[in-house]
Amino acid sequence: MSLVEVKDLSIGFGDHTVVHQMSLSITPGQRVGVVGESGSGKSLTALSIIDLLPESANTTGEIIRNVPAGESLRGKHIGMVFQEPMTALNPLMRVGDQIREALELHLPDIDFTARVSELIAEVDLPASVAKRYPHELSGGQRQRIGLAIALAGEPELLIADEPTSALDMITQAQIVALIKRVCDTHNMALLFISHDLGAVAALCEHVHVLEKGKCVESGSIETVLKAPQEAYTQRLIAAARPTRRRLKTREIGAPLLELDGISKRFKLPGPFWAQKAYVQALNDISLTIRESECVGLVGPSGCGKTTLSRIIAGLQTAQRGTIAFDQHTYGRKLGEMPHAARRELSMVFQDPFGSFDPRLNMAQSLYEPLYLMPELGHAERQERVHMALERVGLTPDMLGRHPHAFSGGQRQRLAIARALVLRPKLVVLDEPVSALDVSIRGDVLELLADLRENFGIAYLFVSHDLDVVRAVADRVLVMDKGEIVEQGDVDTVFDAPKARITQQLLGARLGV
Amino acid sequence: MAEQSTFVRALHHPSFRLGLLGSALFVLLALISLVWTPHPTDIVDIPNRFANVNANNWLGTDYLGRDQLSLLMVGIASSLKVALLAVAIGALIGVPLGLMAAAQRGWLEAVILRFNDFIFAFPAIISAIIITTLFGPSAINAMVAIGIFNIPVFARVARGGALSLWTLEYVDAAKLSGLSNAQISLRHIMPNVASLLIVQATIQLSLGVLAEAGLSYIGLGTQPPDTSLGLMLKEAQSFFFGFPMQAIIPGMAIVLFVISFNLLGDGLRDTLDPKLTKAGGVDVAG
Repeated sequence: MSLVEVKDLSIGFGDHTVVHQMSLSITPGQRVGVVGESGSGKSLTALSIIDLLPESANTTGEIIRNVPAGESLRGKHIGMVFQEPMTALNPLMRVGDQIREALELHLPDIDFTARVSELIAEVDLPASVAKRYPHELSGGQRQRIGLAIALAGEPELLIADEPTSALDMITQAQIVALIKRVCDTHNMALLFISHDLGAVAALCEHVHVLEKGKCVESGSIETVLKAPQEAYTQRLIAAARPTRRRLKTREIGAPLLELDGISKRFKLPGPFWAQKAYVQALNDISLTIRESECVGLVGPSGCGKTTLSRIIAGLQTAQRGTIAFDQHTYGRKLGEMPHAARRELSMVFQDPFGSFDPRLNMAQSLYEPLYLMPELGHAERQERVHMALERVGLTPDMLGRHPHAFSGGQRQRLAIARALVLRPKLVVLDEPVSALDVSIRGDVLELLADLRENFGIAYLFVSHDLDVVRAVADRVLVMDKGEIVEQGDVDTVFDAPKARITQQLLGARLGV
Repeated sequence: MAEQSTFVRALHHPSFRLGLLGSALFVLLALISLVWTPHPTDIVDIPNRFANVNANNWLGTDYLGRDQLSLLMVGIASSLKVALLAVAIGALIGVPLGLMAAAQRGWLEAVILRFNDFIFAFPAIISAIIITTLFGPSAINAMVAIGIFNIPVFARVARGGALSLWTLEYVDAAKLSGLSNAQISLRHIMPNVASLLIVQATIQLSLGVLAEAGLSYIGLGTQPPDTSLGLMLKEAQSFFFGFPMQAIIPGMAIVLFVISFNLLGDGLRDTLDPKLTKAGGVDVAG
């Protein structure tokens, strides 16, 4: 007998249907995954099961929950873990008391203090965290507390809505392993909602693939991964296993960018009379990028890879060290990055929504880099912008529109077009595909590979996704705590990692 | 989804509609008074003084026999003029200061912020009294005094809005394109904080009307033979027990004037501020 049975569920707001005819069932102890992109209706499906839909939603269909009449559904029978661990906890309450609160509601007859310690031990936290406030814990620790609260009522079903999306790779793998272990020991069923096929594959036995509110495919995880029937599922799987792309006709050339001994530290805020505290963001970094080469830069969050890429792009200056780029040398004591160097370098940002001024139309944004080339006439400017658009597969008639008229993938293409207007020799790519839905990542990566092949542009590819880096990069740099701990050919480094952090990062990969 | 213009969206907001109606009425009265008033305001007609509401003088006459409606229209015009110019002074000096503080950071920001704190440390009415006693009471000095108090208000709003924009990626992209901080401020920051500034301007406008009335009431603002709402109130004070309408008319005008502009500002803020709309707590119109 199944724990929860959803039959032909449709959810809509006004006359706009968001979930169409969804059916799923969860048997005791079964782990079920729901995979889909943002806006595919996966969270609403989960909320409908725990009866937390917004009031304005109208639903049709049937949800049968195997719960004795009169007993509370939430907490006691169905527990939930949320995406954002900071906002899911009460900031003014010690986390131990928050677990206790859940216990008092569901199991009023037990020794709360002992049970709280047991729950905290169960999620692998030291007993001392019970006395701490949420802001004193890291994201991963908060998510563990969220899980402990969900476990307090000893539910038969746990719903986890993107519980790892806000965490870094290494913590994500730990939380996934923890959820799996907890489900096994309690024989608890799991409904796991994620956009990440890798995490679902690591956790679930059964998977439902959602596209635009419709369940396009469902089945056991092995069958779906091995023999996906629907085009959409195939695209998802292909995106999780990015195609390897190497230069075919072009050779990697002479050194283009050389960093020598770059250091940067930030002063921590504090009262002026106190001893100044610093955080060393970059410590004596030296690296080389050659013409037409794609260099990957990976590392855990907070390792300094963003600072390094911003220094290379010229958005920040280093406190020590020199940079030699395309016959220009600059750095501390040698002066600012010269304008002539700026023309040869551009950057593509992570967030396709934040990278365009919402009040300017695309023409205004795309002509902007040409401020660096005042000598160009009107016709030449227009030719450059139109050419850049053509290269990314868009047409000049889109130039009159504002950013809100474009999808995320189109915006990222436009951001690449803006980077190409200068015809640069080096483009810094800061997580260029992480904010994109998986189904369009492949297109953007292919575009980047084509541009390198055809125009010999070198890339610095900053990413936390090792699979993507392995697919696109020739060489990889691994950073940890402001230093480059390992570098070399991407296959050599990933097949035989030497540094501890590289091994950890590789171990945390959730591939499919 | 079709993008509605901000103005159309604002019109669905009840307090914006009410505020717009009231403000438009006052502005209209002020504009008409520049070319025409029902009666001249500079002719004294003692035999007809303290007249009640009648067909000839819709709101009666004052202690010199002047038509109250005409005086009210001229008074609104002069109060509005003082408040508008005070807002202009505040915005023209304060907004560039705020944008500069956000763009340059460092010592320049510290200096601008300390300057703001210095002005804020004096209650507005006290600094206005100091200025008008130093330079003599007049409408122009009242305007300057209120305007100076507006400077830090606009500087703060501009800096606060600009600071959050400076962290965005399109600003980084503009820096990579070699734009100077001043160019970025004008091209990207200013248009994106404009909505905040417009809202602040309407609120400062209503505060300006109130401040002008206060200064005129204690004899430091507009001087006779000119008139303003505060001055009318002051002149009516001596006859309040005999002829309460003399004070009630300009008093009510001030109250309605201020309420209208505040409602307009609130409505604008609700429609323009994306943070409030996302929280979902704004759509009073339903």
